[in-house]
Amino acid sequence: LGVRKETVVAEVNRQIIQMDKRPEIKLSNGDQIELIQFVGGG
Amino acid sequence: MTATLNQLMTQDTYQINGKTFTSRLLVGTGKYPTNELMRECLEASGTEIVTVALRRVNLENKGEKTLLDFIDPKKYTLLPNTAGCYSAAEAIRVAHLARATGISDFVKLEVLFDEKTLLPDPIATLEATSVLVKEGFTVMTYTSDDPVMAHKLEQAGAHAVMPAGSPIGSGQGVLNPNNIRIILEKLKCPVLIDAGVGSASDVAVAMELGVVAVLLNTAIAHAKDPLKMAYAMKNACEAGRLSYLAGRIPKKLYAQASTPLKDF
Repeated sequence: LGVRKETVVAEVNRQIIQMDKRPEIKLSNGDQIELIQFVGGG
Repeated sequence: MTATLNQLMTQDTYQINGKTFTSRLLVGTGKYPTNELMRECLEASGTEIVTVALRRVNLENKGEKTLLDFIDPKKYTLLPNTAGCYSAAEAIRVAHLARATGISDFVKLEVLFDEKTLLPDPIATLEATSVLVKEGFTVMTYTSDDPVMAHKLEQAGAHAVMPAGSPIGSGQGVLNPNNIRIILEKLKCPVLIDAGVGSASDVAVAMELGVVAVLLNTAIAHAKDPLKMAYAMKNACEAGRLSYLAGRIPKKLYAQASTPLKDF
C-alpha cells in the first residue's frame, strides 16, 4: 500500500493486530481494516 | 563553588511514573506551518516530551513523509494524546492503539465534552484514568482546574494531573491561579499546566506557581515567528522555575526603601 509498516498500527474488525502477529493474519472478504499513524497534535 | 545556570537547570529533575526528565516544557506537534519548522522549534524549546495524535492513514498520500520522519522517538518521549475523544471508551481505544505502536506507553488522556469549549468531561475522564492506570499505562490526565476533580484523578492513580490554565488554544494564560495553588497544596503527584498559555510570561507565571511543568502547542505553532517563540518559551520556563525555587518577596502595600535613608 506504500506505507511503512513500522509506523502504522493495524486494526482488523476493531481488533488491534500486534506487530509480531501481522504475518499470521488471514483476511476475508468484508473485513474492516483500519491503518492508524501518528500525526501532529497537542 | 557557585552553581552556574546550566548546573542549576540540569540538576533540577523531576519524575513521571519513575522516568526522569529535566526540561519542564512539554511541546505539542500540531499546527506548525511545516514539519521542518516543527522539528526546529522542538529543538529550540529544549523539550524532552512531545505530544502526538493518532489518525487514520490517508492512502492517497502514500509515500509522503510522516510525523515520525521528523521526530526521533529515541530523542523524545512521545506522549500520544486522545484528543478528539468524547467518551471513555473512545479514549481507551486510542490509548491501546498508541501503545500498539511499541513506541510509548505514555498517554495524555483527554476526554472532551463538546467541540466549542473543548472542556473535559470529568466523569468520563475519571473513568478512563482508572481503566488505563490498571492496564499499566503512564497516564497524564488533562482536566479542568477544579481542585476536587484533580484530587479524584490522583486517587484514581493518575501519574500526572494536568489542569488547563484556560481553554485549549485560547492563549488566555492561567485564569485562576488560586485553583492551581489549591491543587498543588493537595496533590502529591506531578501537576502540570496543560493548555491555555499564549506567551512567555504566561509560562513564567505558571511555573512560578510551582507546577512541575507546562505543556503547550498553539502558543509556539501559531506565533508569527514560531522559532523565536520556542526560544522564548524555553527561557520563560526556566526563569519561572528559578523564580519559584528562589522564593519571591512578599507583596506589600507600602514602599520599602532599597537605599539606606539615614547617615547622610
